[in-house]
Amino acid sequence: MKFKIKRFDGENSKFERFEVKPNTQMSVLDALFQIQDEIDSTLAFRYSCRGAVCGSCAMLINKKQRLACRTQVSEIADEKVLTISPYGPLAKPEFKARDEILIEPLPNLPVIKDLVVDMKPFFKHYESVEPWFDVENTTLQENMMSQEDTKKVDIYASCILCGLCYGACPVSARDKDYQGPAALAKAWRFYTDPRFPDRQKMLTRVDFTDGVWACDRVYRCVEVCPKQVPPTNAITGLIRKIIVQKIKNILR
Amino acid sequence: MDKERAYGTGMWAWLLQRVTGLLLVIYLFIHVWWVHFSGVKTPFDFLINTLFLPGRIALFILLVLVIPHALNGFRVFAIDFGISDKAQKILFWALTVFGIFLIIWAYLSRFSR
Repeated sequence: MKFKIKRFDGENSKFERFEVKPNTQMSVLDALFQIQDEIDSTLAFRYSCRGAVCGSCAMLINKKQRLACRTQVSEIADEKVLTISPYGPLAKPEFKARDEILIEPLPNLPVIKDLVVDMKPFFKHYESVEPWFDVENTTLQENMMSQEDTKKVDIYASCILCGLCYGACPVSARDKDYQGPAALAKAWRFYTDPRFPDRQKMLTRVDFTDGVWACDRVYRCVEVCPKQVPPTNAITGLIRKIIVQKIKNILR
Repeated sequence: MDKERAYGTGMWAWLLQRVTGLLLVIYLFIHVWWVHFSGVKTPFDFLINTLFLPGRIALFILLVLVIPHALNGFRVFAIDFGISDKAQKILFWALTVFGIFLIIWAYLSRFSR
């Protein structure tokens, strides 16, 4: 089993090939551990839980944004790779041999070393929608919530903040100020939560050119999400609420 | 990643919409220039029957551009009115089948003679 991994040492990037002994039920993360243990101890990558809960090991595997711990080597071993990248045919195509597995860092974020990316831009946008309950203004009273409302929120609350959607989004690729699918899905998660005190305020946090209005509705965020969160549905939902609010403001 | 969630419809629909849209904008410029500013008085029947022989090929190409652009436009409306990510995918394929049917039907009834 051959692995082709993109290395970056802070200045130069290059591809390196590694030969891995395949095991049964081996995930890509297991293979990276083997490379780090037995071949090259300088290979850097991020991981924590190894079970698709923490969202640390998001990377570009065979040109698709996936979690390394959740991707089985046997499943992607002889996968074809689309050589035209999301930026169109003008981008430099990166080829791989048929039996190789191509591993690159997550796109749209600055690379620190090898497969470790700087998540700062991602969390900057995440914080810009202020997705939390204001503790100081919350009463100690019990906060009731119906079963139906819980179901609505649960779809979006299962986000693990791995950044796969941010790395897959073509709008994030061309516009670094775009809030991104994860942050906007979080905004919708709090907007639909009946316990959230000021829902209109949440709309003002996403209502600008690089907020909800920048979305191209390409649905790549929905396709790559390992937790089946549909951020595009959240974005169109927010847009509808903003439009209704603006019409109300005019008629008032 | 689940197999059924592999890269798909949304991106291709977006690309199709931009490509057909750009070509139609170019067509509109030519169209407005020809019928209004060029000064050539072309009889309508003559134009529609002979347009870029053989087989009125230019008219057929225009139809092949307009049908996907118009149908995909309905899908984009539907997305903004709140259909889900799964429904838009089904709608894309349904409209693709319908569009191919329309093009074949138009060819057989209007262009093959």
